[in-house]
Amino acid sequence: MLSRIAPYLGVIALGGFALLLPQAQLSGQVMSLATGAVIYSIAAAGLGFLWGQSGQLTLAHSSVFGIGAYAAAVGAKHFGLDFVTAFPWSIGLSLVAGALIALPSLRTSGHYFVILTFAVGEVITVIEMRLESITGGVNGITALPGAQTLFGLRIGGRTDYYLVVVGFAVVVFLILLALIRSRWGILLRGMRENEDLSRSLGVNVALHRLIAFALAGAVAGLAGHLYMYFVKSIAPESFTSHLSIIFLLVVLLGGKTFLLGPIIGSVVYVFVPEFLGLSPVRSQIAFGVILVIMILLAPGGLMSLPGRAMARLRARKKTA
Amino acid sequence: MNEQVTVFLQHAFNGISMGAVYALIAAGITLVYGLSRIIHFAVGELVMLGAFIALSVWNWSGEFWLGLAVAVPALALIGLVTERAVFRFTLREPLTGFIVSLGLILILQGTAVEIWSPNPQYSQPPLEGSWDVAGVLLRKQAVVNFAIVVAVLALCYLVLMKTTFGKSLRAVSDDPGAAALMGIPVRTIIMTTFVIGSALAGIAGWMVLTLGLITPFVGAIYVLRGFAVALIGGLGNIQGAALAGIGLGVAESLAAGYVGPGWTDAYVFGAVVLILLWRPTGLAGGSEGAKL
Repeated sequence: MLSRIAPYLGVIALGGFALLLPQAQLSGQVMSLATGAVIYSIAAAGLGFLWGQSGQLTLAHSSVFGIGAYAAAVGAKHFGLDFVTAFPWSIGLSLVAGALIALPSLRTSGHYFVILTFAVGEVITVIEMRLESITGGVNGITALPGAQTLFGLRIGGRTDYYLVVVGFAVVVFLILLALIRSRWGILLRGMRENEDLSRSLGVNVALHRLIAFALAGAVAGLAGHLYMYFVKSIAPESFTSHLSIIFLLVVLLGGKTFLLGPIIGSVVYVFVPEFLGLSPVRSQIAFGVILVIMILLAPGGLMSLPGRAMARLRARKKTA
Repeated sequence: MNEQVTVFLQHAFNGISMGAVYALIAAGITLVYGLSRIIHFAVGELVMLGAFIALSVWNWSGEFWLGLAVAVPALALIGLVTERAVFRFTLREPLTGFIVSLGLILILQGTAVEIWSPNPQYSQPPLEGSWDVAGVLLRKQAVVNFAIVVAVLALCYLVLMKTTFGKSLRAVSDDPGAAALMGIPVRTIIMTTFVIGSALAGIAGWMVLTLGLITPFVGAIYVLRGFAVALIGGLGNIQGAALAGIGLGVAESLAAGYVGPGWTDAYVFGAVVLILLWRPTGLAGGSEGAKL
């Protein structure tokens, strides 16, 4: 029994810890970074679920994240929606976008599909830049309102918004955890390992893959929505394939089959350059190097390193 | 001549000169992919580096052609170093190679911003003016570029088809295992394709510089067009890449001329999506690609 609920308790405990963080009287800058890290971890968790569970990689994830952000921004600018009432739109549209991106995967696979997702992402960026009357073109949408209330509670400042973001993160991670441990999760991993075998057992591979993509899209869209109400101004250049590579890095840092991996990855991604005082360009170079080293030496992520080191030690003892 | 025909031919010519650059990039992509099965996505950054190295040499020496003479070996060296340092460890798992190339994008782009600043830079091409052929203005630089591309691709084709090296290369592409058994140095051949592919990107970079503005962020434009062309031509197929490159350039130029330039990227990438949906392994047929 305990082993069944332990992971859920783990997520809740981690969420509780994150909620207590503001009590430590951290500076406003640290709280901003933490908010960004949690938002990134939500988006990356969507990609991690897709990649780790169903084995599908997409480079359009940042674009779907962007669709969530744009839906929230356009809703606020043109339709008078607020933080809460915009959710159906941001999540709904990104869910549909996620499923649409998955459609080609039913006909094409492997390298061709990854290139295709890259192309789809570029098309979405062009649309964001050219539909000026709605998206504001290259300059994007600026001077947007912040989040005001949630369930009747007033969201006062930065710290309040951080707590809201953490709350959403806990819910998302609990849902993903339940899905990973469900029969459906087993089904997805079966498809990942052997698609033909799954099909021969009567699994509707196309349908389940589509649902997995739609889910990842919805999660990315939720994160995009939270991102827009955090930075309060958005532009197409924030959602290019560059960000998709960052999501991929975040997933890879934490380990793609490990649910909490994206949290570790995004904390490293957001805080390490800050502590080292690296300029954005230098940290981009550093993370490029880290991405290359990780995929070559530790494809299981940072969390796999202690285990691998132990295994190596044990093997050495045996031979000695 | 009828004015409409002249306008059409003008767009077509502009497209051909741009398409030649795409063909060059795609030929490199196709070579590398054909042998290593690695989707080398940092090739756009290699083009960008070629352009910036050529620009620096030009600013320093005042000789535009010296830029080409330095950029090509410099890029060949980068190709050699990246293959030796990372890509050779990824041959068993092509997806790993792909992710490595994504890391290289961050590294190369960041390095270029550090060295050359993020601002757009511009150079005056060595050949100015144009030839007037029946009302169609042929920019001299574009004609020379086209001639260089034709010569380079023809050379690649001859080496591939007529030399022992080319024969070995094709053998590795067909069946690396059997090629190795025949005593062909598979690893060395794969390394060579990385060097050649990067050198081709270097030439393309120099040409991009002759045609307009460059910034450290132009890579994405060229990598996707390069892959679009390589896919349409069929991955692993050089003649296909040459034809598809010209085709894409012309189609793009006509679309920009007659429908409006703002959406060009959307047409091009939309077309990539549609082609991949219609023919999932490219128009001319290519390999299935590794499972991810």
